[in-house]
Amino acid sequence: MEVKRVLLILLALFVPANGGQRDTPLRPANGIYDPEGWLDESVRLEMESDILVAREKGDSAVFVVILPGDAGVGGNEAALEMGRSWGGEGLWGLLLHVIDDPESPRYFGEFSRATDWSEQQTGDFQASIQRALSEAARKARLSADPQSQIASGTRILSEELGYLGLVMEKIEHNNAQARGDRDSGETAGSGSQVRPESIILVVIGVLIVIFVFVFFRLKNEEKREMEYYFPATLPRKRFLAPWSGGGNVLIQFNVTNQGDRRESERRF
Amino acid sequence: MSKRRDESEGSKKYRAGSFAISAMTCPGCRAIIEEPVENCSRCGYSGHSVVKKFPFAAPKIERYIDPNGHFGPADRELIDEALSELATRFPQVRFSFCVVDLEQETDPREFGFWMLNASPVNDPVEEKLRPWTILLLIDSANDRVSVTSGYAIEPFLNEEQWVVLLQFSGRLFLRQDYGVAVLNFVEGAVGVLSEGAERTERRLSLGKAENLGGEVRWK
Repeated sequence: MEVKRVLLILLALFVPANGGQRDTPLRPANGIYDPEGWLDESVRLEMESDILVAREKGDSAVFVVILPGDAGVGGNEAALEMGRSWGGEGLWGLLLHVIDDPESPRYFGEFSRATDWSEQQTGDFQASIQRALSEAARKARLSADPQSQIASGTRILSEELGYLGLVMEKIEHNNAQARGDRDSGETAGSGSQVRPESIILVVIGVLIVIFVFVFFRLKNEEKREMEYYFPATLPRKRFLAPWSGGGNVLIQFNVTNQGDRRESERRF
Repeated sequence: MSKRRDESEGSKKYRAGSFAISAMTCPGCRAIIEEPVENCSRCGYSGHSVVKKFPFAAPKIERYIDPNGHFGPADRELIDEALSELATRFPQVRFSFCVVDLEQETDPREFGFWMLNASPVNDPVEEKLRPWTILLLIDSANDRVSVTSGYAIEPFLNEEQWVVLLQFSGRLFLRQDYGVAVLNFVEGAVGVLSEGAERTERRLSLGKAENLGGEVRWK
């Protein structure tokens, strides 16, 4: 029972949150919002195919919204709201057709994602979106009946936005490459400069070399200091012997009767 | 400890008697002689006498003169190592260890005297080394040991210290464990040579002070 109560509370919190968006229907899976089924099936299928191409070609979202005739002027706002809700900040386009409205179909589109593009790039891209919308509207009007206009407009809009999606990718790619070149250029530039860390390392290295040199030099000197050379003497040559006058050290070792005790007898 | 005297003082030579503290004796009759003589005043002994006494070719003076193989490879390795260490301190000195079986009547001191003088000197290296040679002669047949030194090193050695050093290893000599006995001898020789070096330095300092820069007294 406690669990149910908690779920009810959560549901109560969730429902008002969605309630604020109650005018915006859920995003249609095929990109076509036609609650009254005004579109012919064949037209719908053709449009779905075109919308899919745009999505696969340039990751662009194209929506078609068919509203009843009483939608009036508020239909534009509703369309924009739906486009922003479904398309998010990515590139999207929306064809709005209000049944029996001579001004329909109308075209909307946006790209609001934050980018690191230059102002020029951003401006040009936004202009391209508007041109694509205008182009789709212009060409679609050449068709005879409303459903054909919608189908034509959807196809053209899909093609245009699909192409712009590719343009968007190209801009991203070029910018990324430019950043890479700039980074590598900066790295190369920094390498040619003498960095303080490098100087410190070089100084430490030189000091170590000097220390090792001095250490071994002193050690060698110490070793030489350890050497002792007896002075040369005029030999006391005797008994006509050329190299030695003999020695006077003689020791006789004797084993005693008590185990291995020894006695040494010195003889002179 | 000291400068390289042979390089810094060129051919300057001192009287050996100025440094020597061990007596000179006749190899034949052991009589003490006061001054170097060609023949012993008491027995008439000379180098000719010893050559007649040992009328055969003397062996070449080498580090090990060991016809009966008393020094094994391990012994030699340890002794060589000790000698290398000693040479870093006293580079002039050369040691030779001889193990022979002598007749009871043969005095090892005289035999050593004969060896150092009768052994051939065929090259300049040996000519330079021979006066700085210290020969340890071990008579394995009679458990006797003697030390004989060349003219150059002789003045700086105190023979009493050799005696003490050898007595220390008496048990090893008796067991004919000559490897360890000689190793002890080499290690103790550093002390004997060091004492000689210090005594020499004292004498040299005293000589310079007395002469006040004049001609070296010992020359």
